[in-house]
Parts: sequence; structure tokens; C-alpha cells
Amino acid sequence: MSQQSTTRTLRVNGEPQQVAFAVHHSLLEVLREELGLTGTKHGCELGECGTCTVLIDGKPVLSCLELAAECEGRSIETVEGMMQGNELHPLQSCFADLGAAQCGYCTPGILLAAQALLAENDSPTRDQIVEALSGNLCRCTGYHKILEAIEWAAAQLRGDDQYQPPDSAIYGDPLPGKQAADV
Amino acid sequence: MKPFKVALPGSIEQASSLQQSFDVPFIAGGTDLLARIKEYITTPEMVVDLKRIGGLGEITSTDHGVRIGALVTMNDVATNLQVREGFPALAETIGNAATPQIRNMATIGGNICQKPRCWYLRHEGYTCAKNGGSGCWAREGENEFHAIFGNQVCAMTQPSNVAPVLVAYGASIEIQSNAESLEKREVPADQFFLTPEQDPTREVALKPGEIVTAVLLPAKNRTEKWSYTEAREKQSFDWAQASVTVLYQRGGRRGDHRVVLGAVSPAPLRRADLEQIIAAGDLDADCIQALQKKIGEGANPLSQNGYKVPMLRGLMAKAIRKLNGEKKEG
Amino acid sequence: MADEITIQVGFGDQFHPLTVRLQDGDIPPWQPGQPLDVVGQRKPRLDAVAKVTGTAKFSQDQRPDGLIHGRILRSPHGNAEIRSIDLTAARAMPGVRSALTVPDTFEDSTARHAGAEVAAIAADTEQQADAAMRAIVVDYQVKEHCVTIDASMAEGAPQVGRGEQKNVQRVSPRTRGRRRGQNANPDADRQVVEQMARREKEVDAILAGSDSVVEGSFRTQVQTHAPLETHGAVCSWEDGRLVCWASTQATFGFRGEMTSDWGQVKASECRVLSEYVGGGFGSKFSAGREGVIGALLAREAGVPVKMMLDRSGEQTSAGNRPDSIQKMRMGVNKDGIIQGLQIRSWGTPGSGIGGAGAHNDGIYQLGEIDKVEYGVRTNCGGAKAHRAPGWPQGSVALEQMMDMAAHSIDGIDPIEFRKMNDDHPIRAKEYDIARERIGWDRTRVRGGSATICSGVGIASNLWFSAGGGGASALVRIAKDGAVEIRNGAQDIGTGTRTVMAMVAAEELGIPLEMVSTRIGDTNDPQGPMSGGSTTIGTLTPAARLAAHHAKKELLAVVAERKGWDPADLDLRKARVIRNDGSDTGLSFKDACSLMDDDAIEVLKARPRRNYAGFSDTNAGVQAAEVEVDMETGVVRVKKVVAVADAGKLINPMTAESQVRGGVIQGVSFALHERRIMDRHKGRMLNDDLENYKILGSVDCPEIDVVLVDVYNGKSNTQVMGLGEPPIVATAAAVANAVADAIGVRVFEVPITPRRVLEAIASNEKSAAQPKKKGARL
Repeated sequence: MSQQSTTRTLRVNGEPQQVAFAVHHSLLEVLREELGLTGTKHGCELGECGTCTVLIDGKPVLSCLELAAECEGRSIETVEGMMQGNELHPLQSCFADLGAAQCGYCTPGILLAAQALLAENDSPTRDQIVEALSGNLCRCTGYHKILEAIEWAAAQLRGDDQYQPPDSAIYGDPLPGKQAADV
Repeated sequence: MKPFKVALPGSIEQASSLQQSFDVPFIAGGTDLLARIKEYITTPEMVVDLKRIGGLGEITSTDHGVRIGALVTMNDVATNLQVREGFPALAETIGNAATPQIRNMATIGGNICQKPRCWYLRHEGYTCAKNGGSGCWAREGENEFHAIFGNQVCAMTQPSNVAPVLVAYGASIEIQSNAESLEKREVPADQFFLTPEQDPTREVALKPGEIVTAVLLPAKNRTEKWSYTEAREKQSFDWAQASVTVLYQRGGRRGDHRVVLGAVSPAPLRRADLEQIIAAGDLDADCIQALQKKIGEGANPLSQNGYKVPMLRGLMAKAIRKLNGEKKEG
Repeated sequence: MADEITIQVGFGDQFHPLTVRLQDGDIPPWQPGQPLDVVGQRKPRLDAVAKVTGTAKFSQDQRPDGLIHGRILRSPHGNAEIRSIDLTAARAMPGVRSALTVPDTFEDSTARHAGAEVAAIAADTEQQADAAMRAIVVDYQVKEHCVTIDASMAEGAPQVGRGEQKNVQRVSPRTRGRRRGQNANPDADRQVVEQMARREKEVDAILAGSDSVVEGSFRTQVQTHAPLETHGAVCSWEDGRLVCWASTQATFGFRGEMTSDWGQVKASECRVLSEYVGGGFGSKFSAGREGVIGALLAREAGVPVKMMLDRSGEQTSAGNRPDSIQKMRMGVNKDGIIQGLQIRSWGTPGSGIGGAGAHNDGIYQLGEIDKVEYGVRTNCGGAKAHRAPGWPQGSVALEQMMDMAAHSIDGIDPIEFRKMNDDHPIRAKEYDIARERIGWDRTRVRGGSATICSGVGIASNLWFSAGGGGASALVRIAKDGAVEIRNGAQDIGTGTRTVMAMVAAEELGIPLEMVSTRIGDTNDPQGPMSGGSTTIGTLTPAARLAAHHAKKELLAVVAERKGWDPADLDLRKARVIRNDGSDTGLSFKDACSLMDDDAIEVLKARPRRNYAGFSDTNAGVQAAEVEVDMETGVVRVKKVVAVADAGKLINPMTAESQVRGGVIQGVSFALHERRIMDRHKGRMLNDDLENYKILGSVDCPEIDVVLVDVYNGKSNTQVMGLGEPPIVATAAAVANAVADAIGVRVFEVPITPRRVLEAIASNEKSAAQPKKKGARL
């Protein structure tokens, strides 16, 4: 079995790195196996689930269907590059604070799809957010908190601190001193 | 997957000479080919990557129309102003297709050359008329998403949902190769997509070494009134079960209409009989009724896909209402 | 000695006292009006930051030194005997380190479905493993197959099972004395058959005497779990001890299998690590053949092996929800009271017959019931528990019958009809909430009277999620004030880690931020599996009890050092306080610094049994609103109102997330998902995530969650898990809404455009009796 190998310089999260890999390897394989960046998830490997989404030149793509050899000279962004110094990206903090990550497996891919959307459109409508996520499956959360977290992060990035994501209703308020609040 | 080599030619000539047979596939966006390689549906020793070839990645506008380089991504086609203004049905259909990620990767050239989604063809061990054997597993098998027209030899549906729109606009496919006799030719879209009767093993009119270099949209076929409607089970990432493209008074020419059906036949199905009904009268309820009566003619539904006939009737009605400017439904 | 105490149980404005005998040193449940600082608050998951930064390591992400890759060869035939397997050529391939055959490992030489495991190989790279796998030579004796319920039930169908096993076998009522591979003991069976005949006659008579009888035949499809992280584990042997990083819902169960005789792993010691799991939904309770294979390949290779399934293996062979055919007749009187119900149901759990039942008994008072269930063997991947096993399919049938029965009696509204036949006090309130929030009484274009029609539907659920014995927790308070709680169970995304810590923080009177957690490691105390929605109900009482006793120990230290009365001390808001609420001047940290030892460590098990409580079952109601395009048959679910009984709410954020998750899987079940088997070769044709259609963002309805906070008194935390309850009713509510919208019932889920168009066409054909426009079905 011929495993033609190649050495390329890949710019991942702003850092150019020389990396050797088999020419037929996908970007997903190279990120996870060669560079140890396992934040990019392995879901179906056939371009159907979106968990392997990364940004190439700012656009969300499926790293499982992208030949790594093709990515030389392009900017590759993964979830590991989202933090700004020690600070979470607003998308990350909003996802965490709202419970938009449940099992967490689809989360990195969805964060990057959302980051690309907000880079293009700082005030996306709910429909635009939904459309931007149409290539990312989530089997746990029910999507709602993801959509609200993106809206919240967009508001924060615009400097709008008025936005408050809604809470679900509770019948029989569990907080102290209150009971049977009507919903 | 089986390891393969990647050739990175810098010119069309080099690329063309690397493909002596279809055993050496071209790769552009990779969204179709790499998935098939991973599933051992095809096991090439080498793939020829077209991405380094210059001049195939632009959309240019001339007096004659719009030329879309074969390597332009689906997303770039759909968001291009000249396409959106001149050929909005094309932008609309791409906007419905696949997922944002795939639209960022897949190219227009690759889209029209992609292999059918037939689930028999995409599993190992099913030989049929398309891959060196004979017969069609779907005809007597699981065929809910298969063709209802022209399905005698093979019940595949043409997977490209831009294909029917290109046929409707009278687009041409620009093809180049290294071989002298085959140098740069333009094939009208309605001849580019082949039926299984023409050749069961090929979906498009390419010979080994031939490369799609551009899609040409003729300016004279720009149309004021158009509609593209499709139906599918899921609204996020799914394939159309049927689509109807209608261009009304194409290029402003009276009586020049196009009705092309998608996802119901192995190649986009232009329906001159329906075009005549549109030409014969107003776009009113009678017209819709006449179209609905006619649209199922010639269909040979299989055991599980008879629903596509009423679905087409429904889409036809929507298409005419849309031409009339009625508000989007649903 | 048990302490007898009186507690208040109830919800909303309905409370009553209940006498409870506390068991096994338990402490009383929180009481209505009792001020709580942490419990009941919306708290982000403690592992949320790890998940959003990509640092959370799933099994798929583990990369121990020397890791190589395992692959499983699967049968391509619908039904085959494995005559022989030759690994010689495969073992000689580059990079191959170990190999095994399934007949040798599991003493099973039948491959009863396409996708059944046949052999396995491990090699240095994935591509080498792929290549070697394809070099394995297998001699199959291919046999005829049945891959659908209809094919298997047909006259003269090929036999799926072995010995005398019939394709269709009664599973309920059961006959005692059935042995493996044999039919029932004839004498015992005859008695059961006679009882069944009597029962049928009795219920026949009741139906004959009812004012109205409705009939329906319903079908539901096979649904695969399709977690985004596939099944499998990374297995490594260190000095004869096995370590598995497993994608599992049961760390301790996984360990038990690895140390057992099954599959001959027989590890003397095994540690299972599972900090993050990418979904399970009931399919990951067992190590599975893949887990055993991973361990054996790693042992032979002498290096760690990653044995994670590929997507096709996941979809074909890692579990599913069985399909069903359910035939029902219901008798109802003019006053709206249900008199009786006959049910005959069939389901296909793969080549076995267990687990195919369609459950729906217990929500409504259904009068006299005559129910017979059959398992149908097919040559398909075996079923596994799938989020509320048996219930969504049972609900699809029963809830549509409820609507049909209501409509058969002039003027009874489906919600009123349910209330007449449902005595659960919580659901009584929930119906009203659902009715209001879905816009039940709003004027709609319904009944197929326009191009786009709208409809609403309702359905109910119950569950049994108060948990039970089988969990211990360890709470450690260090001299420096650090607090840690440990339990070896896993968190598959449900929020187990977070609620466990919240309960401990509440009891210790400190903020959640001061508690660190350790989970997903079988070296830590015994924890439950993540199943049956019982995890939280099982685990949190242990956590609270351990925290309580750790607190008592800490306060005893304080009392002794300060000369105070320990009974007068408590902890709240990270301060040591007195019973009258006054501050002692000591902070929590000050108190900890008074310890002589390095730490207080308390390990406590929860009582094995629950208390009687407010109600035995968890109660829920869901309502769906749909829009149907009559021209294309496309159904859009616009909104689902999900009213869910959470028991005592600990964390509304994780609770509502569980509810929404159940609803989307339910909508996906109602409209999209189904396994498609090829009649020719017996393979699953949509063993992927493209043609196996899972609801995506654009298809997701608005989901309005209403959590009902119930002091149910069943345990010291009173919480009810919400894994299963929210999926039970969703598809049924959608089906009822579709019928309302289009004026004809679709008796089979998923309700695809094809089925809608076919139903409309058949309705048009049989339109002999014209219906009132806009009338409900």
C-alpha cells in the first residue's frame, strides 16, 4: 500500500506549523491525529453531521471532506482558537451560560458555524441563524438554547447589553418564598 | 478508505492528460468523491486535483451572458449579484441545496458532475446497469426516492438540483480537454445530462480527459417571471423529492416558456407539453388545472414512489401561483 | 430504627401531609417554603467551559501513547452461517498487530443480520486496518432472510431463529417454562391460551355493550439511536489491568462485562473512564461486542487500541427502537367514559423477541383491557433500550385512539375527553396549561380545507423516574476548605455532574462554585447507569446524604473546638450560623481550618427504597401545532408545548434541556426517521445520516417548556429524571395534530410527504360521506 506522504505548512489558529501527513488524509485526520486538536469532532466522516466543521478562510467547511494537502496557505480556525487570550469568545461564554451544550459533541462545530455567521452579519435574524446551522446536527439540546446563545453573543458583540434570553416557565416556582406562581 | 495519490496539475492540459480513463477521477470540492472513496464505492489509485488550475474560479459577465468558472463554489454562485439579478432561479435552487458547509466547498462544476445518490449505487456489492452489470435493484426494491419517469433501465434521479434550472435557462457547459479533436466545446445543458438509455454508465456527456471548465448562462435568456419550487421531507439538509422550474416569457420572447422537472427522472425532464399549455392561455386556475392533469402523463411510478405524481401536481400549482406573484406559502 | 416524620407533599396549590418512615439514616426531603440557595437555581453545567473550548475529551478523542486502530468486519448478508474464517492473509498485511474472529470469541457462528460482527483487526493506521479487514477471507453459507415485519409474518416466510423458534411468538401474556431456543411448555401454554380466549370474550362483550366503538391499526417504524459519538472504547492493558475509555451509559456495567466470562476478556481488574459521552439514548448500557473486541485486540497487540464504530456500524448494529403494528378497538360510552380496550401488537426487536412491546397502559383509566403482544424475529440489527422503550410507539396508537373515540361521541373535545378518563392530579393541571399555551381554541384553517392547513394535537405521558437504590457518593471537605464530591457514574449530557454538585452545595451551605466534582471513573464510589431517567433520582439522595454527614462532622469539629452545642450549628452561605440564623463569626473556610485531620471524607449510600410520596408516576402533557401543505404533503411542526413534572426541580436549565431533547427526538420520530431495509440483500440502505433523516435546525419547532415543580416526597431530593418522559407523547401529539389539520388520519409514522399524499388521495376516493368543512376528524 503506497502511502504517499507530504510535508506542508498549515496555518491553524494563526500559527503556521510544518506538518507531515499522508496525502490522502483529510483535514480532520490531520488536525486530530497529527496536531492533537481533538476539539474538532469525528461524527460521521461523510459530510452529513457537521461535527467536524472548521473555518477555512473564515468560511465553515467540513474538515472530513477536505484534503489537508489542499489547505496549505489558507487560514484554518478550530474551536481551540476561539478564545481571546484567557477570555472565552462571547459565543463560548453564552453557550456555557445558557446551557447550549448538552452532551457537547456537536458544540465545537456549531460554535464555528455561528462564528462565521456573526463575522458576516452582526445582527442575524432567527431564520438566518437557523439556516446557518442547517448543516450541524444536534441530537440532545433541541436547538433552542443554541439559537438563543447565538443571539445573545451577537448582542454582546454589538455592545447591546439589553438582550436577555428568555427562561422556560415553571409552575410552582421553586425559588424560596414563592409558590404556585401561575404560568 | 484506500490510500490514493493526489496529482496537482497546474493546467487543463496537464490535468486532462492525467485522466486516461474514469478510474482516475478529477476532484474539486471533494464533497461527493471523497465520501464515495471513504465508502469504497470507488477506489482510485490517484485523484487529479483541479484546484490549482488558474482561470476556473471566477464569475465574469459579458454581453453574451454570465460565465461561471467550474471551480466557483456553490455559495459564491448563489451570492453573486449577476447571477442573482440575471438568473435568480439558479440562486434560489442553490440556496436550498445541501448545507452551508457543503455550499462553501462544492463547486458548480462538481455539482453537475456528481454521481447519483441512489442507495444501491452507494453501497458496495450491488452491481447494476450503472456500474458494469445490468438491471436496476431499485425498480423491484426500495424506491421511495427514485425516478418515476424514464426509469426502465435505471431508476436513478439526477442529483444536481441546479441541473433542471440550467436546462431551463438554456445554459451551456464549457468543456476542454487535451485531445486535439475534442478541444474546447460547448454542450447545451439539455444534451449534457444523459439518460440511461443514452448511456447507463455516464450521467453526463464527458469522455475521459474532458474537464468542465465553465457554465455559460446566455444573457438573452434572462427572464422576468420565474419560479423554482421543490418538496422534500426535511428542510435542513435533504434532497428534493420533486422540483418544478418554470421560466415564463423567457428572454422576454412571447410564448417562449420553459417547464423542467427535477428529481423525478434520471436527467432533467423538460416538458414541452406543459410549456404549450402555459402558452395557450392565462396563468389562471384553468391553466393550473390543465397543467395538473397533464403533468403525470408518461410517469411509470414504482412500488413506493407513486406519491411523486400528486407532489408534482402540487408543485406545479405553486409554481404558477408564484409566477403570478402570490406570496410565498408556508 | 426508622424515624417517623410528617412532610408536606404536593405541587402548585395542592399540598397535603404525608407520614414517612425515614430509612437507613436518611434525612427529610426539602419542604415547601424552605429557603434553598442553590437547588432550584438555573446553573450552567460545571463542564460547560470544557465543552465550549474543545478541551472535553470524549472516548473518540483519547490518544494514549502507541495507540493503534481497530476495525470490525461485518457480514454483508441478511442471514448467514459462518462456515470458516481465514485470517492468514489479513495478519500478514502491513501494520497488523492483532486479529480475532467472532465465532471464536463469542461462540456464535451465525450472522443473523447484515452488519453482524464477523471478525476484527487492529493495525497501526486506520487505512492499514481497513485494508487488512478486507483481506479477511470468510466462507458464508448464505440463507434466506426476512428484514421487515411483513416479510417475517408472511405465510411460508424463512425461519429467522434457530431450533423450533417461530418467527412470530407471543410475549405477553407470558407462558412460564419457556426455555432458550424452544417453544413454550405446551400444558402451561394451553392454560394461558384459554385465559386469553376468555379475556377476549369478556372484553368483546364490553365493547359490544358500549355506546361507541372505534377501531384503528397503527404502525410505527424502527428508529436508531444515532448518537453523534458512535459506540466504542479505547482499550489499554497496563500490567495486566485493563483500562477502557468508554463511550458508555454505565461505567460500572461496562467494567462488570470486562471482568466476566462473556467474550473471554476476564480482566482481573478493569478501570472504566468516561468523563464525556457524545450521546447514548439507551444504546450504551453494554460494552457490546465492540468493547470486548477492543479489549481483546489490545491485549494481543500489547498496545492501546481505539475501537470506535464507524457510522455504518453504528446505524446497522448498535441498537434501535423496534417497530410496531398495533391493532386496537376501544369502547366508550356517551358520557365519555372509556369502557374497554382490545390491543394486539407486533414488534421486531431483531432476531430475538424481547423488548418489542408497545406500552401505553397506566395513563388513562381504560376500563377492561384485553392485550396480547407478539415479538417478531427479523434479520435486522438487534433492538436496545431507546429513550422510553416501548412508550412512544404505544402512545402513537393509544393517543390517536383517544382522539378517534372522543370524536365518535358528538361534541367531546379531545382534551376534555382525556380529563374525563385521567385521574392524575398533576396532569389535570397540565392539560389546562397545554391547552392555553398551544392556542387550542384558536380559529384555524383545518380539516384539509385550504392549501396550507393547521392543526393541534394533544397527548400525555407518564414515567417512573424517582430512582432507587444503588448509588453512593463520597464528599470530601479538606482542611483548606476545598470541597469535592465523587461518584463513578457518567454524565452523558444530562447534567448529572452538575446536579450532584448542586445538591451537595445546598446541603453544605456553600455556593456551587466551591464544589469540585469527579465522575466517570470506576475507581470512585458506585453510581447508577444513565438509564430509565433514574440517574438523578438515584444519585442525588446519596450526594445529599453524604454532604449532610460531612457537614455534621465538620460542625462537630467546630463545636468541640469552640465549646458550642453542635445541635445549634448549621452552614449557610458559606458561614457557620446558629439555629436562630445568627452568624457565629466563622466562615466555612475558618471552620475547615479547625480540623485536626487533612480532610473529612464521608461515603454514604442512599436508602434502597423510595417513600410512598405524592404520586407513583411522573406526569406530563404535550401539545403540538402543525402546518401541512396539502399539495406536497410536507408537514412542519410549528410548536410543541411540553409540560413536564420534574419532581423537585434542582436545575431548571438542565431540566428544560432534557425536555427539549426528548421533544426533538419525538418530532424526528414523528416525521423523518426510519430504517430502510433492502429486500434483495437484507441490508440497511440508509446506514448513514443523510438518508437516515434526523431533524435539523430548520425543522425544529418552537418548544415551549413548562416545568412543574413537585414536592413528591419520594426521596430526600424528590427529584424526577427527565430523560424518557418528554419523548413519550410527542409523536402522538404530532399525529393527532396532522389529522386535525388535513381531515384524515395517517395511521403510520413517520408521517412523510408520501404518507400524507397517500392519505389525502385515499380520503378523496372514499369521500362518499362528505365531512363538514373544518370539522375535526
